[in-house]
Amino acid sequence: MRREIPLLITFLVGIIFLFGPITTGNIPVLEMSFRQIVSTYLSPWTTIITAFAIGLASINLLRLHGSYVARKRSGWINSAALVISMLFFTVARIIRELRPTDPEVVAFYGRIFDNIAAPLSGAMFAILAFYIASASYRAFRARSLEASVLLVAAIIVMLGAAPVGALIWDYFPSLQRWLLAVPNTAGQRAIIIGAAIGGFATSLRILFGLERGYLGGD
Amino acid sequence: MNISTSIWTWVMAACILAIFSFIYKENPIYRFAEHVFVGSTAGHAIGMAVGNIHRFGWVPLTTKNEWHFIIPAILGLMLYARFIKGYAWVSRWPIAYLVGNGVGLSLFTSLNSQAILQARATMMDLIVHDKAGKFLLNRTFDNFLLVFGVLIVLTYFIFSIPQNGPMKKVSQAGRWLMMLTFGVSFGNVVAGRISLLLGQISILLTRWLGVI
Amino acid sequence: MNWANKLQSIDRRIIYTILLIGLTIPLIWPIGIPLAVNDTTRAVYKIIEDLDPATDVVLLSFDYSPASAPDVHPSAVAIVEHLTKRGIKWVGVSFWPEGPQMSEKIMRDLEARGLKYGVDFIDLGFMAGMENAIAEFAQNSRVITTDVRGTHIDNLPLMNNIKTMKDFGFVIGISAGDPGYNAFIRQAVDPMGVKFAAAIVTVSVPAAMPFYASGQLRGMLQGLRGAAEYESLTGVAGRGAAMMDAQSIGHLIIVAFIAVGNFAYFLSKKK
Repeated sequence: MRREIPLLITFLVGIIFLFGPITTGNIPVLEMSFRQIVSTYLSPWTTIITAFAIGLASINLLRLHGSYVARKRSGWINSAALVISMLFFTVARIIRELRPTDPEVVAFYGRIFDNIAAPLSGAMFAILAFYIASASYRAFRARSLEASVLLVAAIIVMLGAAPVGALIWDYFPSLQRWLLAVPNTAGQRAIIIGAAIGGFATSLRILFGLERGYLGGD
Repeated sequence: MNISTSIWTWVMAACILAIFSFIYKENPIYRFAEHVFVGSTAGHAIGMAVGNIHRFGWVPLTTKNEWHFIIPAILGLMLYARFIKGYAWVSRWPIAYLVGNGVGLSLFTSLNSQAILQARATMMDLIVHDKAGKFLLNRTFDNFLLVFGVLIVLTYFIFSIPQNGPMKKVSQAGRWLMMLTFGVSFGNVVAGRISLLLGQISILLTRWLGVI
Repeated sequence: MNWANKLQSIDRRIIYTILLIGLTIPLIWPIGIPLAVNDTTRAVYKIIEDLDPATDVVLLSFDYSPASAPDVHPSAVAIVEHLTKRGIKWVGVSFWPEGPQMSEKIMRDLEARGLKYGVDFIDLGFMAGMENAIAEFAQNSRVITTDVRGTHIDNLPLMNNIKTMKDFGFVIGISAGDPGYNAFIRQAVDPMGVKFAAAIVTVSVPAAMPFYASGQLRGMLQGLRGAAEYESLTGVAGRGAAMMDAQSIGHLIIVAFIAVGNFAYFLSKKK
């Protein structure tokens, strides 16, 4: 029963969500359409369950770093910073959510988010620019004809997408636009179609219980 | 130059510089900032999640007597059973619910938007004329490339037929087109990453140093 | 070590320093390189120009976080500036937890300039549930019953005539990932015929092109460059245009390093 009930839940919920937008008329006995079941019950429930799910990873983080702090493992100060900042932001945001009309609460949260969370997150992703510059220089070599095609396309796009491209050669911007609009569209479209068909097959396997990987081990 | 005197701006600058210090080498200041980054981002997400549970669950439950909201609350709590030894299987129910939702929601819509409508968009005139009936070579060439480009890349992904003879040649052509596509993607990745870095440098120069 | 090998192993810190200096200088002293406007950007501009400020309300979905903000936030600002200039009212919503903080920045600025929350714009805040939330909001836009300031939507005149996403004159997704523009296409554009365009992070632009070509996306702002182009169309100077010169230098530096690396590679192979 530990596997059968979840498989049944997936099947029933999946079928109701699938039929919601493509069927009309009421289901006998229930006197409700699939669409009504989705909009009145299932969809709002998903919002709540997803919101609960957001906390899962954080609980894992808290357990892990909490134990580092408790055992005073090397680098425990960093773990303490993680736990404290997580609790601080959680509490601050909850107050912000529950008191949306209090201008002081709104302003305080705006300040801590804009000056702590946002710059840390922004800078973390910004440093990728340095690595991509270094990686391009080290690994982006015309080792074969296929790699050369990739290289040339990338250089045309880089020069054509920046305003300076037009100063170097008039045709860079139009060449970049053409590459993006024609060969890229053809390639991406084929990948999108292929992925959709693959996704469709996988979804059917999940719906009918043939694919059970998401249930995890025993 | 008009350096900011706001303590908050200095905190912001310190956060950016602490993360940037990693590009020189891994160091304790970076490690500390990295942990605060994870903590603050997770904390914000939890706060938003609690807000959602309150707005979309608690309020209708308590003010409109919509008792059915007890069900997702129980399912949501069941997710946390994975942390209790011997009861991890309980968390499969809500996971099964979310998977069923995702599958049911996307089964038809993905096929429609990404396969059917994209395939339909590929069914275009191969020979293009303008309104006056004049033959347009550029558009004709582009349309040929779009139609046959999609077909040859799809051919590359057909694994159920042995790729020999003409099939191999067509799939090889698909490989070339994909290289071009990946080149375009790489160029865009570089542009995107530069934009992200520019954003941070720009914040330091405007809000903190007041240079621009 | 010979020259070819030396050129293949330039210290990463030299590359980083050159990139940093190369990006900083044009930010302080802009060169003012002219910028051509893409059709994808012009399409968004044209749709907003054709809207009727008396009847049309625009929905802006802020689906990005501070991590991707430098690439798409200037587009959001540029679009809001255009809406403001035309007197078109807008409703904000987010399907990313960080989204409301992004829209709050814009709203704070508008309020400082005398525009009124609740009259000129409102924000419905974050709704969890990823693609399912977008689908639900598309079918029933009154599912979010209170805005970010705790006001019930029945008391917000901007939401008076809104029942589904189709009732918005135009929907724009400012999108940095999942859920994003493709979820809107799957759940709102194709099943309901919602008029939709997107401001997309540069990285996602190649994957979005087939949807623009098929008409599922009516227009598209391509990352920071899209914002700069939009600013030039509206005539309202913003962060996008200011950063385009530095973007150019950044691309040149990376292309130069790729060229140096390949030159040295071929030189060493020849030897």
